[in-house]
Amino acid sequence: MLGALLALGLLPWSGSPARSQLPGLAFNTVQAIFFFAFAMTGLCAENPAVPGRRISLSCGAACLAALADQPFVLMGSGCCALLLTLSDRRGGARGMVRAFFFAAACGASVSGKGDGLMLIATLACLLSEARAAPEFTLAPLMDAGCGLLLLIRTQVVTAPLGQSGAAFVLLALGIGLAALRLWRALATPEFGQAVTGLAMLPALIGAMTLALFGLAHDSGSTLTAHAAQTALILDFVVLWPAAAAFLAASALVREGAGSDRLNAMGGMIGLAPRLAAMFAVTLAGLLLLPPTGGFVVLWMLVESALGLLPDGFTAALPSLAFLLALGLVVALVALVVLRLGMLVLMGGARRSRMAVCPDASWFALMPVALAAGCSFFLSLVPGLVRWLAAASVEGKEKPSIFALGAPDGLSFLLPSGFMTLLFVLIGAVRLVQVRHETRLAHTTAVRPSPFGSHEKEAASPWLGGLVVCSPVSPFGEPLLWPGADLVVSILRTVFRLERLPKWRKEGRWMPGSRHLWRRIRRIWGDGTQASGIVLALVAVVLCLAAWWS
Amino acid sequence: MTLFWSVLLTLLQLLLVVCLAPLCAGLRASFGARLSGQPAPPILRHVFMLGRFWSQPVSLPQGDLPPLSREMVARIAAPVALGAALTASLLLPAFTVNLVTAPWSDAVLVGLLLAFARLATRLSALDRPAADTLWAFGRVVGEVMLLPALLLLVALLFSSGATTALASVLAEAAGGNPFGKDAPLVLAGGVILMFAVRDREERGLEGLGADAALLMLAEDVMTLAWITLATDLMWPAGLLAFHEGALSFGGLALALLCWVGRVSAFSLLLAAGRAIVITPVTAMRLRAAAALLLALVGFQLMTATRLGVASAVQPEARVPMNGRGSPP
Repeated sequence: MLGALLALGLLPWSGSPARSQLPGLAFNTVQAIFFFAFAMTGLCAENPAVPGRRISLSCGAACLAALADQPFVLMGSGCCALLLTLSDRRGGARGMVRAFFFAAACGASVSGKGDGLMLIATLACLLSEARAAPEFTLAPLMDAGCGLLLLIRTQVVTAPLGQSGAAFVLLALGIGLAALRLWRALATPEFGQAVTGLAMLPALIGAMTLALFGLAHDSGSTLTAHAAQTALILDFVVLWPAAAAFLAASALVREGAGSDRLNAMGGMIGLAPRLAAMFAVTLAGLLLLPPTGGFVVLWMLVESALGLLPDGFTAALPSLAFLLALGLVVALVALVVLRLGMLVLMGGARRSRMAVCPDASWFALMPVALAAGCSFFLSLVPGLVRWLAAASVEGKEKPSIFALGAPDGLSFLLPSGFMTLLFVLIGAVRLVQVRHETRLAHTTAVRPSPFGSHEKEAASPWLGGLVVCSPVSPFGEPLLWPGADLVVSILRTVFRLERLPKWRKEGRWMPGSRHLWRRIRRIWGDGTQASGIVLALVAVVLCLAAWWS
Repeated sequence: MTLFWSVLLTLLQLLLVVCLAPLCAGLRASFGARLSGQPAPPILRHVFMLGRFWSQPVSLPQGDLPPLSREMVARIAAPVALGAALTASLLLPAFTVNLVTAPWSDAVLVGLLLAFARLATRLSALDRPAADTLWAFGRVVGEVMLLPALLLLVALLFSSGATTALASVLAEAAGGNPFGKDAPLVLAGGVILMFAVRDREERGLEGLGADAALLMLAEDVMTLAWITLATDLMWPAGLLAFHEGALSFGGLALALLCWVGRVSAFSLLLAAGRAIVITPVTAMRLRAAAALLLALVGFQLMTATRLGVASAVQPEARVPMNGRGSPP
């Protein structure tokens, strides 16, 4: 936390000559933003209940990579961060492939070439999946952060995406991956996969804003490029800490529930109120609708996309398609948030283990609360980072702290203004309601329960002596809580998504495809560390070859 | 227009929205039932329902029983939903563009704030046994399906006024011809009416007491806000723009009458949709498809109008003249 705040506080001096005194390291605005994001991730990775420290070490290495000024420092610290997020041998091969492409792209960046390699490395990092161990919940976010760091250091800092083709590919990758991950989060019965799909949203929005920045730079639109840059900064300052806090809270939920199955959870509001409140707050932080912090990022992203809207219907079709896809992503995010909230927080406990879910202590929740609070505060002052960065440039007009301006020069957003109005109205409604309830309570007698008093706790011998709460309803809890995964069937009904025909399922359209796919999966899944070592050696050789050429 | 009058007009709009929203809901329900051949409830029935829920006694916890999570969710969601709906309706210019909140009236903000309020009203219904939860989640799916069309609508407004600030777009379009250059804005109003279409639903509100009244009022305010935005775009000249320092009470009364008339007329139009008997899933698909198509057609019309205007103002090509001043 101190490191993250220090990075923000030192922004006004990022342009000073003393910023690069250490060999291989430097400090400018982009590096400070990445340092802030990785430091906040490290803060959320601190869980006193879990002994593992590898994610914290990985965050430290990533912070070093964020400050790297030379490609070999970036390569070393970035690969170190990626390797520290490997949890087991089963996922080791995939992690090695990520590190391999990362190192290769760093090596290729020395010669100023290798856009394709860089995109592949970023894609490999963005495709990182949830780990089985709860202490590695934040690992996918770290992997994605390293991928974006590579992209921004090798392309945007040195030279923006020079060709529109690469920017279009990155834009399509970002929006496509976001839709795919959110769809999987809607369909999966696994809690870890669902939360990871939602929490990777800042990384994918970062990829989209980078692509928009490249397109704006290519078209010569300085104002739109500036807006995309602001969206990128807001993404890392507001949405990234919210995602890290959400992942940390979900690790505590998974630990408390004792299961990774969504159908085994439920009713957390009544069982663990503190943990449920923190999970709900961090979950709502990722919703891209106002008044959450994610809306500020979305607004800036939409304005950047509108800034690139050309005249003419045919020419505007790609921009319209992007806006449509962005609307789809916002809709999917809302559905995923509702589904997770419904299955984890609401209803009743669907397993006996969930019924004895312990509540988290304030000490364990403090890092999560700090990160979520920091994200919310920075969403109210979206211009703060840009204002601090502009302080290092003498003679330049300083932007406003509270307002966000669009490239058109007419639209602007004042988050603190409408949030104040919203909270005043909510407070007024609540005040009227409380006064009304107090008045009614004085005039209405408390009705005695017709079913007598219930015991607070009861030991159930058939559950192995577990102490569970007695049912609230006199006839027992309703048995049909929405535990079954019916969301996908609802979506299929509404969108008319039919199942795959039988001939496609059996693979007759391409003989042997299922067999081949199974073999590839087996080789991929059973990859040992030997394959990783071979890949790492190949990466080193390639990097050295690129270095010398 | 002084700040005092702007604040006063904003408070007047807040008061009118709270009073007018249940009446419009009652009007829609009564007219819709009459058209579909059912016994029509009185227009004020909705107001009486709100009062009945509001005056229900507070359900106190009995003994040591923990409160049900549904009640806790409703207790948080109801004020939030109503607050968000009221905020969005205050950001919209209903009868004047000179509100104190006019600088914040961004199309993206208003649309997504209303979407947030609608999700918040569904939260208490999601915390029920399976049948009600599935019903509520199905409705949520149908409502969020319209979000892509909302972003297309924002692009349409941006093409019209080069900004997403609603006050600027409406002020610019106030003097235009809705059957000519500003016809795309009429289509944009049609898109927004797709968001406002919904039947009155009192399912999942039993036993919530005053929270149920707040949730119902929030739904009414949301529908009124969508209808107001649609009518603003279709007839922006109905908005009263006060000149600097001059406040005409007659003009204000006329603008208020125009707003009430527009909202009533479009409420009746929406209620007429109930005469078409279709299943809810088909209605969802139709609404989403119609919203997308209308937005696309509006955008195409907008670009065609722009190109037509651009070609009309281009200077004519110079024809070389001979020595006598006539073309060769």
